[in-house]
Amino acid sequence: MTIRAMARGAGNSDDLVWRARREAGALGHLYDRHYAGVLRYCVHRLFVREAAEDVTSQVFLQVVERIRHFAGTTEQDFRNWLYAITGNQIRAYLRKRARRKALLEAAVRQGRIQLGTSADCGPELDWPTLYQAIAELTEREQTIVTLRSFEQLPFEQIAAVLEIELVTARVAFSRALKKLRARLAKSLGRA
Amino acid sequence: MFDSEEQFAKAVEELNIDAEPDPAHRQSLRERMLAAFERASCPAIPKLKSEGVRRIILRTRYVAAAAAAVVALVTSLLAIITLTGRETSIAYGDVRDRFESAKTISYTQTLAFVSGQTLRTRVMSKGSDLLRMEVTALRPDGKPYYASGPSAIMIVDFRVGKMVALYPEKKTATVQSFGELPPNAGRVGITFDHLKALLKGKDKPLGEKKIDGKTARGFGVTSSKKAIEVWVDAATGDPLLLVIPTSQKGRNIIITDIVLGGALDDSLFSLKPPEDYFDTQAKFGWGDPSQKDVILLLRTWAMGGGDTFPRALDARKFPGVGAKVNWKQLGIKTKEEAKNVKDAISRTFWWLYSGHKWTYAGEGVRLGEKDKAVFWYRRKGEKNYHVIYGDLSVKDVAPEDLPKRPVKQAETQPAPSGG
Repeated sequence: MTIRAMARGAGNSDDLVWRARREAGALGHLYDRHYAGVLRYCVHRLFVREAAEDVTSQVFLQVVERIRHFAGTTEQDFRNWLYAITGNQIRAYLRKRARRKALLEAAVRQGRIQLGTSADCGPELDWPTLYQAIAELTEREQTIVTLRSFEQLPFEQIAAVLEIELVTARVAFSRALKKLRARLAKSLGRA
Repeated sequence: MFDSEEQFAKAVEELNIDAEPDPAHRQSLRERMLAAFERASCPAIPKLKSEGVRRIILRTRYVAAAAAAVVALVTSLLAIITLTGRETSIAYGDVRDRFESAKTISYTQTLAFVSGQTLRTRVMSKGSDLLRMEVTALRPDGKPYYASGPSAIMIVDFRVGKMVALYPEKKTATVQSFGELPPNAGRVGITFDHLKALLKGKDKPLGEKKIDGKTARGFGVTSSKKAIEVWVDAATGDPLLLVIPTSQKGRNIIITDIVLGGALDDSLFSLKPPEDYFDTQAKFGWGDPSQKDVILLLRTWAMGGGDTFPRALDARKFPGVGAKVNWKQLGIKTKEEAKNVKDAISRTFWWLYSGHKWTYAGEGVRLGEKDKAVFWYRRKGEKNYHVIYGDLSVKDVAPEDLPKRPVKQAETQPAPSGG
């Protein structure tokens, strides 16, 4: 692709963000481009698909409410804004202790099933175990680990989503990883 | 385990976490979102520049007194509106009017079977003419049979009298005009008109309950057709849930994710199969079944029932019966022969549901009982009936010599589909 074409492509997607404030078609187009990403992020943070779908719904309904006042100009701005809304909605969802407990119980249950079916394979890392370990991190660490290692966002973007310094994002991630390693070593060792 | 960020990222990747979107949720949320956007697009009432207005009104003493009265009146009116707004009960008539006036509707329809399987159908309807149904068959554990999306998509355009069925997993399509469809083909789904008709009944309040965290107000609606339940958001009147009983007691069609007046693109109703789909229409001709075909259907049914003919020719039960048939007894050796048998049975089913004259009287008759008539029929223009007996022999019989009809003939049902 030529630089000119790339520039044109970027211009078009940014134009989409402008038009989405008043045109349903443009908003629908943005939705098509970002639905899967938001859902994936929610699945990684909430483990249970139904919960992830509920929160994804809340995110896009929030987008409708707020898009007219969205101050960004590019699709990158929109993406950051979307991740920020998603993070807030996930936090709101997890604010109820009963919900948090239900998600962890689901992970424990699933973990037992996987353990039962792969008893010969030794203590390998599995998703339920990793989810439980991530859930023990602080809220901000959970967000950073998920955005970085699951959604593969660059640190610059993570910093923009969380409105923190770049160096803070890097340090927080590094600390979170260290904590995770220790917790997983303990839980897999037990297994 | 992992010593670096790269190793951790690799470990995460190897977990293969299933985060693939469910197309039904994706589509339903898209419609809800765009409908909300359209609603929010209504022009806002411009704010009064209250300070400026106040200054003008209060310019004279007399006008000030009148203005005070007006302000008091407006304030009390606003209070009344606000208070009644909080406590107003949603009238059922308003709910029905919303459906009546909507030009489009989309909803998710769920029908659970005793086997634990579920059919979840996203229905989209534009006016009375266009209907699209995306049918997803779910396993008892709630997962879809095909990860790639719906099991089948049916699109009906009543203006041109055509229907296309798309099967995404096999990428095949069948386009048919209504002339080729049996009279009860309308049963494949609940059309918007059908739904509106169900809502035109006598209503009674059912009280309130929580649905998805929202307070919902319910109405029982009884029409000549059915008694259904309608649940709406108690605050906004938006429809949340419809419960429509089926002919089987205790089994209901559940309708949720209802969007009235949402944008539905015309491309959703295109009868042209996607280019990478194989159109099976050219290869598949139903036609009328031969006598041999009819006998084959009866024979296999009896074989699947332990050599006893069933109570009724209920197509919904045929897959279960077919599973018990020893097909080798029919002398099937090749794939081609198996396909011929399948086509013959399909042809006969098609014919059975196409309004032809026939009678089934085989309940409890054992295969081989030569004196007991099981089934008789007459084709258009024929004078005599063809009577098939328990031993599958056939005799042509004059109408006046026909065997006695069973007192009550069990209903013949089409196989379950989207609705």
